[in-house]
Amino acid sequence: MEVLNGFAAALQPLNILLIFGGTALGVLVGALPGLSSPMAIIVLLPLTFGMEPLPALLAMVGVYVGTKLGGSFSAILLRTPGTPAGACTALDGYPLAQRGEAGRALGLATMGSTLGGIFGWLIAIIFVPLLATIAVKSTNADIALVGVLGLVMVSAFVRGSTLKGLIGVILGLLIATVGLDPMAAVPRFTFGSVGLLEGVSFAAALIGFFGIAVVLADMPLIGSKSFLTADKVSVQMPKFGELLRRWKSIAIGAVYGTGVGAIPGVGAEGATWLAYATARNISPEKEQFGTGHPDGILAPEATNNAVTGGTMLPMLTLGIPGDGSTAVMLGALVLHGIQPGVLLMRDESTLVYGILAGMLIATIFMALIGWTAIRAFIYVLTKDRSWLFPFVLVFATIGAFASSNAMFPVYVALFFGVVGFCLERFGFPIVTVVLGIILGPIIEYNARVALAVSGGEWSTFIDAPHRMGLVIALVALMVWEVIQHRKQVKQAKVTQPIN
Amino acid sequence: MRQKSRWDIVAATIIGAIAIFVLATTYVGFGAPFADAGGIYPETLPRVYGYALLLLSLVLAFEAWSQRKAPLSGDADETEKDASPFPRDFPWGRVAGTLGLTVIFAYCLPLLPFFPLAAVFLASLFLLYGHRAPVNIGLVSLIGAAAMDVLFIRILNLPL
Repeated sequence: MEVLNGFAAALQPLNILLIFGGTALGVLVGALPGLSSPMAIIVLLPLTFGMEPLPALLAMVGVYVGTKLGGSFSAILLRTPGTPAGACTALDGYPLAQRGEAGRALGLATMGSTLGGIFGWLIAIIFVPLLATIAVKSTNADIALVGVLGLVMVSAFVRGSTLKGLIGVILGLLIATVGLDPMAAVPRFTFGSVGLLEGVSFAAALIGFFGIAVVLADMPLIGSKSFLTADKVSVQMPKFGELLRRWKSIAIGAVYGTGVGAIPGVGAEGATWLAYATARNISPEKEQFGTGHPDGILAPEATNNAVTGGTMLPMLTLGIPGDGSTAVMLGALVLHGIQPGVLLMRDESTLVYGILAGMLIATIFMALIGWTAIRAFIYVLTKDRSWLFPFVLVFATIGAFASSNAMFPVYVALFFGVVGFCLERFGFPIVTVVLGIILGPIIEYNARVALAVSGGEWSTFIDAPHRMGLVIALVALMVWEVIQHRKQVKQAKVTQPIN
Repeated sequence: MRQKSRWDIVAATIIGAIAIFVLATTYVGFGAPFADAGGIYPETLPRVYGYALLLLSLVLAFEAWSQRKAPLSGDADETEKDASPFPRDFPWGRVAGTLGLTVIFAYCLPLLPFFPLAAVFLASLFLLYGHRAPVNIGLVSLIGAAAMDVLFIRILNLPL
C-alpha cells in the first residue's frame, strides 16, 4: 500500500515534469566532461527550496540517474568520459564509434544503463523496507557505531590514497564540530561569529565543495575544443535477441553496481572496472575487448546505473550517503526539515517510496531521452564550458543565499570552494570531507546520548552481539586499511625508480 | 613522485598546523562547567579528532619524507611540472579573477538590484574566460540575467 502511495505521489503531473527536467539536465551535465552529478544537484538547490520535499528530491533523483548515462555519451564520442564512472565505457565504446558504429555504441550504452538501473531499483524497492524494519529498532549506540563504520568504509574504499581519505574524514568531522555543542550548548570554534553558532551550513559547505571548487578546478577546460568521432548520429538500440545473448554482462554489471553502490563513499568508478574485468574474463571473446566489443559497453553501463539503487540503501535506511550526489540529497532533506536516518521510513514512508518510484520513472525517461534526443546532447558536447561556468557560479551563490536568506552562507560557500579546490589539487578526496561533515553530528549526538542513557558506561558500545559485530567489523576494516595503505606505499616505491 | 612527495610534505605541514591549532583551542576549553555522562566535555571529541589529524599528518609527512630522495621517474607522464598540485601553466589568473568577481557579486547582492548585477557579473566572467564578441556577450548576459531574475525573484520570490 505504501509503495502505491509513493508511486501515486511521484506520478503527480508536476512531479513527472520535474523528474523529466532533472533527468534531461542530468544527461546533459553527465555528457559534459568536468561537470558532475553533485554539481548539477547543487545548481538545483535554489530552485527547490520553495518546493515540498518530494518534488525537490525527485528533480534531484532525475539528475542523479541522468548523469550516469550522459557520462557515456562523451566517453563514446570523444573518448573523454563526462563522469569518472564513464571512463570504462570509452575502452570499447570509442573504438566501436571509430568503426562507424557510434549509434550502436550509444544504443548499447543506453540499454545497459536502463537495465542496470531497473535492476538497482528492484533491489532498492525490496531491501529498503526490509533494512528499514531492522534499522528502526536501532539504539543510539547502534547509530553511532554504524556512522563510524560508514566513515571508515568511505576512507577504506575511496579512490586514491587511503591515508588522504582518512585525513579528509577527520577534517570533515572537525568542521562538523563548529557551532553549539549538542548537549552543553556552548559554542565551539565559532570565534565570536554569530553566523557560526548554528554550525557550518550543510548547503553552504556542499555548494562550496561541489559547485565553486569544481568550477575553479575545471578552469583549464575553458577554451578546449571537442572533436567528435561522428557528427551525425542516431541511436541504434540493440535487438532483444542481442541483449538476451549478452545477459551475463548486464547481470554482472547490475550485481556489482548495486553491491558496491551500497558501500558508502565507493561510488560507481571502481565498480565499473570490476564489472568490465569480470565480463572480459568470462567471455569467450576476451581478446576482442578493447576493440569495440558490445559486452565491454554493456557491463560498465549496467554497473553505472545499478549503483543508483545501491546507494539508496544506506541513504534511505541509515541516513548514510553512498556518494557525493546522495550526500547532497541528504543535505537537501535536512534543508526541507526532514531528519534523515533510521526513523525516516517510519516517519516519511510516502517520501521514501516516492523517491524510489521517482528512480524508476527517471530510469525510463533516461532511456527515452538517450534514444530520441541524442542530437541535442551532441550539439552541447561541442560547446565551450566557458558559457556555462558563470551561470553555475550565479546558481551556487543564490543557492547558498537562499539556504537561510542571509549572506553569511554565501561567504561560507566561497570559503569552502577555495578549501575544496586546494584539497582536490593536493589529492584529498572531497567526498570524504563531505561525509565527515554529514555524519559527524549524527555520530556525536548519538554517542553522547548512548552514554547518557547507559549512565556513562562505555561498554554500551559492545554489550550486544550485533554491536560487538559492528566493533569487530570496524577494527577489521581499519586493519585492512593499514595493510592496503602499506601496499600502496610499497607499490609507489617499486614503480618509482625507472631509468 | 619526488615532486609529489614534496607537495605532500607541504600538505602534511598545513594539516599538522590545523591539528595543533585545534588541540590548543580544546585545551583552552570551551567553557562548559560539567562533563556529560561518560566524562565527555564539549572539547573531548574535537580533541580526539585533533590528535587523530596530528597523527595522520605525521604519517603523511614521514611517508613523503622517505620518498623525498627517490630519483625522478623517467616517465614522460610524470614530470616535475605535472606532479605539482599548482603547476605554472594552470590558469591562475582566471581562478583569481573568478573568485574576486564572485566575492564582489556576493557582496553587492544585498545592495544592488539583481538583474543589472547578474548581467554585469556574467559579462565580466565571459570576458575573463576569453570571449571577445560584444554581441554574444551582451545577449547571453542580458537574456541569462533576465531569465534568472524572473526565476528567482518573480517565480521563487527569493528576497534578493
